[in-house]
Formats: sequence, structure tokens, C-alpha cells
Amino acid sequence: MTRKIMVLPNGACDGCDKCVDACGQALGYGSKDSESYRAAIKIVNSEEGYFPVVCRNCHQAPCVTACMSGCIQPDEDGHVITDYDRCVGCWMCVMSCPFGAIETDPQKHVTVKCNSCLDKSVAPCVAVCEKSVLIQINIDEYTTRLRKNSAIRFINGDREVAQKCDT
Amino acid sequence: MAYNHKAIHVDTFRCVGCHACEAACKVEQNIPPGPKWIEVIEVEKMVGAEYKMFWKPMACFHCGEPDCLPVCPTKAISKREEDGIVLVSKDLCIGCMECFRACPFGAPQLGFDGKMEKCNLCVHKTAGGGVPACVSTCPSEAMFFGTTQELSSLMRKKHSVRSISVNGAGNPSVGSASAAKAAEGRTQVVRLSNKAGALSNH
Amino acid sequence: MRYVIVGASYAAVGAVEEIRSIDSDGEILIVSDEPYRIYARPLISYYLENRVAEKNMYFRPEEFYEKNRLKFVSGKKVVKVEPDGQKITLDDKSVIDYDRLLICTGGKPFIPPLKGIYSKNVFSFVKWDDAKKIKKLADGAKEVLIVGGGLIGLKAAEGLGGLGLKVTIIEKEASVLPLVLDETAGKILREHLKDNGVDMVTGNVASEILADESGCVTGVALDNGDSHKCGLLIIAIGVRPNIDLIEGTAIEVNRGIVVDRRMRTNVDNIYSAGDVVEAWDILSGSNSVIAIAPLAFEQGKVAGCNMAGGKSAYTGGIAMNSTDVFNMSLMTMGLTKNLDESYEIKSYKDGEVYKKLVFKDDMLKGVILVGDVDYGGALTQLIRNQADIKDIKDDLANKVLGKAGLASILPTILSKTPVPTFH
Repeated sequence: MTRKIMVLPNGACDGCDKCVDACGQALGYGSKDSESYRAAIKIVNSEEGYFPVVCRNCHQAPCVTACMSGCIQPDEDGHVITDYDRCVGCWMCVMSCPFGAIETDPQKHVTVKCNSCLDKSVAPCVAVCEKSVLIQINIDEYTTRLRKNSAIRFINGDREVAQKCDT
Repeated sequence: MAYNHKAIHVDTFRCVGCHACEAACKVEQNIPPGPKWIEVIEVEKMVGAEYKMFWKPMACFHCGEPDCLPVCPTKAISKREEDGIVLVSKDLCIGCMECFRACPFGAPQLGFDGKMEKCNLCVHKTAGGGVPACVSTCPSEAMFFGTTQELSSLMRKKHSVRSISVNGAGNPSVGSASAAKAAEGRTQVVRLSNKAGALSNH
Repeated sequence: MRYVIVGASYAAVGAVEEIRSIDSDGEILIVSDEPYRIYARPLISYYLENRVAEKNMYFRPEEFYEKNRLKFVSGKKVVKVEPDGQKITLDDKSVIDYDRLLICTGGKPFIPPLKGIYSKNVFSFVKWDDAKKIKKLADGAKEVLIVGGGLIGLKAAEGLGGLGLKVTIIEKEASVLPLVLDETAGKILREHLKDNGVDMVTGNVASEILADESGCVTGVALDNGDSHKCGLLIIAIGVRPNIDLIEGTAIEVNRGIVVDRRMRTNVDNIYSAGDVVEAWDILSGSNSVIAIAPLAFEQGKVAGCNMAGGKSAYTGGIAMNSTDVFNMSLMTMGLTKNLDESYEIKSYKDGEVYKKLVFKDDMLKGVILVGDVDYGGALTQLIRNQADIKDIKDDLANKVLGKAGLASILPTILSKTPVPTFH
């Protein structure tokens, strides 16, 4: 069962930063105010609103290709997992990730990347998200669920959906 | 969507939910179990006093302004000028699933190579004037393929035939949207041949 | 089907993984001239400094070989390739037939024809064996000279400096990493190296290697007459594609082995990938040798897919590199050096943080990031895509090169509508 943390494009993120706190705690980075604080999820504040940046778990991930020490590897379910013991801090993955989802931790000489918290039933960031921007979902069911939602709206003559695809 | 862009139109009153399009797609595109480029979705709807079952085959709509296209970080998704088909380049795709998030219709599918794949409107057939496998297979003739111009003229035809058959010939002014809606409730729908005109599905 | 892979590094691993995803039956044989399992080559500087344990040097775990049913021939060098008979000859005279051959022999260090170059305690720094030998000698040697201030020289300096040795780099150009860093960045890095005890001698080249009667290196004489003492000398003035084995074949070689977008050479059933090839370069619009690990892996994947009967095309690469020298992060992507007036350059400097963006024709062509490299990947992608960024160019420059930082424009970069093209 492939479980992934996904960021839904519902524009509801209000930048409360609760996910960042939860993530930093789970990773063992103490106080949020200290300069060495890191988290694997980040809320970027831009003109277009708040934008959570977290690992996309790409299936052909550029970071896996770029990793020099071979410490970033996909597991069987398609989660991209960093083995921090083997990370040497060459920042090749930081340079390759198009989403900017990997951060550097120069003090520990390792990267900081979301490892999907597979040891927990619910990832801490997902658990604290009140706006349901972050969800945890079985990816195999994700598209069928979307298709169902939109098919129902089609049959019921939802104008918005109908206009979107013109036919 | 430009007038020359191609699309599939589904007449949900004719679709009987036989899933033949799904099978045809798998065979034509050689897709193993798992990813479904087209999927028939069952929808229950209250019509009058009773529930009726409808089906809607959901593939990629090849949107006029696809939401999946701008979010792709590697430029793997492109929309062809000549027929509007939205294609994905497997060489460029990194399987990040940004398009999964962006597409409201669940069209992108995860292939076994860990890359996105989706309906390509059978581009190998349609580029030469052919018809997608799902459309040519549909046993109840519920699927139509053509340019948006052709499809809109088909829909006009469909609408007028239905409204006239409900309201009787010679009274076109009553053939309004409400009348068509009344017609929609009927289980028996006027048979509309899509073999006429520029459209063909065989 | 027998796949033979010559060379055991990133490209080989990429090819193996891709071949096995398509063909689970074929026989895969890797021939390596080194006595080790596939290891992460750039990690040798970290190994030298004792920052990476021996067990973590391996690029893939031991199960990898069993899982993919690899036959691994180590310590053997391929001396001859015979495309007509589809066979290769090893240095022990044994012959191996192949159905598909992948040449990913990488680079070999360039050794200048200087007097005394074959003295004892003179090393190149590209193999694990080099690092092991240097590590053994490091206790005895007090002073180390490194000829060449490229990435290999720099990493060697860091590794040896970390061991507490007195390191001096001799570089022909004015600063280290002369091929990618501009004057400002070079200066910052030079200062930083000095703070960490690494001296530099620039603007001069070594003219002779000095040695004592026993043949051990004692120093280097420069072309300006100066000489520097050392107990250990590392030659790091660059690598060349390692193409000795294909001598006498019809395989086309320019600066590296010439391949098409599917990583095929001009000879049937022979593929090539990695630092040894001249493959598609997005920025120059032609083939060139870009010897970096990520591209080698990617090319290996493409070659493996095509070798196993799949269809895949290499989408091209850009010159890029990222490293960390004495806790200073460095990233360079694309064109950053030797730019004419047609390029628009914007930069920002604040202490040890330096950022530079290079634009041309409303496209991003190159980036230098020193000190603050977070989110750099977003810029790499803009260069790779060669996206038209006319409308966000000023915004991008203001934010990346200002207090706001790259993060604040990340969503805009990601939603930058790509030019519709069909590949």
C-alpha cells in the first residue's frame, strides 16, 4: 500500500506553521527560534499565498539520480527515503530537486528531507493540519476518487466542470 | 480550446457501462493491469421519483488550458498546436505527481516505470485521421470523436432531435432547454447516428 | 541475452537497475579494474578525512548484486574490444562474448609529462586506492602540495586539511575552481580556504617534480623559479575520458565517445555512458563531455533501457556541481565563466554569501550560489528547461539576490508556464 503525503491544491493553507513545528519536533530539532532549527516541510509565503514545500516522493526522483553516496533510495512503495547515516552533505540533491524540498543542515553536514514518517500511523504534519491541505493518501485510489468526484458533477450538470473541458 | 482541437464526447444517456472502452484502451495501448487511461465511473442520479444509473467514461479531456501543464517542473507535458492533444514525454517525466494534484479529473495515471502516463487520444491513429480505440469499440455508440467544431455541431443536432421528438415537430419554439431536460429523464432516448456528417466512429 | 558493462560506477548502476526493470532473465556482467564492489567515487575525500566509514563507501548494499543477479569481475582490465566478433578481451587474456556492451569507463587522471613525475609519493586522486595510499602516508608527511585547483584538488585539500596537514594548492589560474567560479566567488573561496589553513599559489604552473636520492618526492619547482617543499604530492589537473580500450575499433571518438540521444555509439550493440561520453548538452546545443555523477547515472539509465529493448532518450544535461568545502556550500549551474556582453549578469554579495545569475535571451543560463544554496534545485530546473522567464526575470533577480531569498519566489518558478513543445 503506497501511502503518500500530498499537498492539496485547494489554496486553503493559511501559513499557520503548525506542520513545520510538528515536523521539526519529530526530527529532533529543538527550539524553533534557534538558527540551527530545520524541518523537512516548509511554508513559503509568496504573493500567490502560502505554499507548503515538502518532498513529492517522485517516482524517478532527480535527487536519487544525483545522490553521490547512494543514501537516497526509493523503497518498494515509492517513498523516497534518505539514509542520514550515509549522507555526507554534498548538496547534490539540493541542487537537483526542482521543488526545493531538500534543505541543508550545514552543522550536522546532512540534508533535511521528508522521509514520510513511515514508522508512525499518521505523519505529524498531516495530523496537525487543520485546513486539510496536507493529506495522507493511498495513491492507487487517488485518481479513481478524483474521477468519481468529477463524474458525479458531470452527470449532475455542474457548469463549472463542464466549462473546464468544453465537451 | 481551439476549433481544430480534437476531443471525445460521451453521450451519457447512451452509455450502458459495459467497460468495453477500458478493455479496448488496454489492448490498443498495451497497458498492464493497474493504470487506467480510461475508467468508466458509475453515478446514481435521482430522475423524477426514481434513481437511475448513469455511466461516464473518464479519460483525459485534453483541456484547452490544462492545469497539469504549468505545474510540471520538467516540461514533460505539452499540448500540440495542431490537434490539442496533451502529451507527456516519458524521457522528461520524473514521476513527481504534481500533475496528479493539479488535474481535477484524475486523468494522470502512474505507470509501472514510475512515470506519468495518460490518454493520448490514440495519437498514433488519430494523427492520420483515425479514431481512438475506445470510440471505435463502443458497442452502444455512446462515444464520439472529432474536433470541437464537429462535436458542437453534433451536440446541436442531438439537442434539436431530442427537443423536437419531445415537443413534436412543427413547434420548434418550445424546444427549449427545459424541454430537453425533460427528455433527458426518459430512459428511451432518440437514437442518433454518429455516422452522419464528418464524424465517424468505425 | 548477455549484457556486459565495462566500468563499475554510477553509469553502471543506472544501467543495471534499468535493464533489470525490463529484462529479468538476461545475464549481466560487470567488469571493473578495481578490486572493490561499486563504491561512491566522490566520497574518497570524505574517506580520507575519516568522515565516512569504509562500509558506507559502497554505493549500493551487498544485496544489490544478489537481487539483480550480477556477475562481477573485479580487478580485471579490458584491453581490447572486438565489435565484429562481439567480444572483449581482458588483461588476463580471457575473452568474454557480449550481446550488448556498455562502455562506462569514466575518466582517467591526466598526468603531465614533467620531470620526476614518477617519483614516489606522487599520486592522483580519483580512486579509492589513491585515497588509501595517501591515508597511509598522511601521518608521516607534514606538508602536502596539490597541483591543480579544480574540484578534485579542492576536495583533496579539504580531506588532507581535515587530517591536520599543511596543504598548499598550486593553480595556474587566479583562483580555485577556475572553470566555474568568477573573480568574486574565487576570492571568497580563497579567503575561506586560507582561514582553514589551506594556502594557495596561483598564477604559476609546476615545471619540475623534485625528488631525493631514494626517489621520494621532496618538492615542486614552479616556472617562476620558486620551489615548494612537500612530503606528499597530489596531481589533480583534470581527467580525460578513459578510451584506451576502444583503440583500433570503429567507435567514433571526439573529445569523448560520441553517442546519440539513446546513448548508442556508431557501432551496433555498443552503448556508452558516463564521464567517458560526449553527450547532449542543453546549453551549448551540441554534444560535450560533462563529467559529473548525476548525469552519468542518468545516461546509464537511458543506455540500460535501450540495451534491454526499451525506448528512452537522454534529455540532455547541464554542467553543474555542488560541494561543501570546510563548511562552505558552493553550487554552480550552467554557464558562469567567460561570458561575453550578450549575457546579462546580476549578482549579490554579503559577507561570505555570494549569488550570481546569468541571463540571456530572457532565459536563465547560469547560477553561482556561495554560502546559501537552499532551493538551488529550482534554478537548476529553470536552466534545464530553458524556460522563457521574461515576465519574472526582474522579480527573480530581486528576490534571489536580495533579502527575500529564493524561497519567496519558489511558487512562481514552479508555476512558470513551460513553452509547449513536443519531444
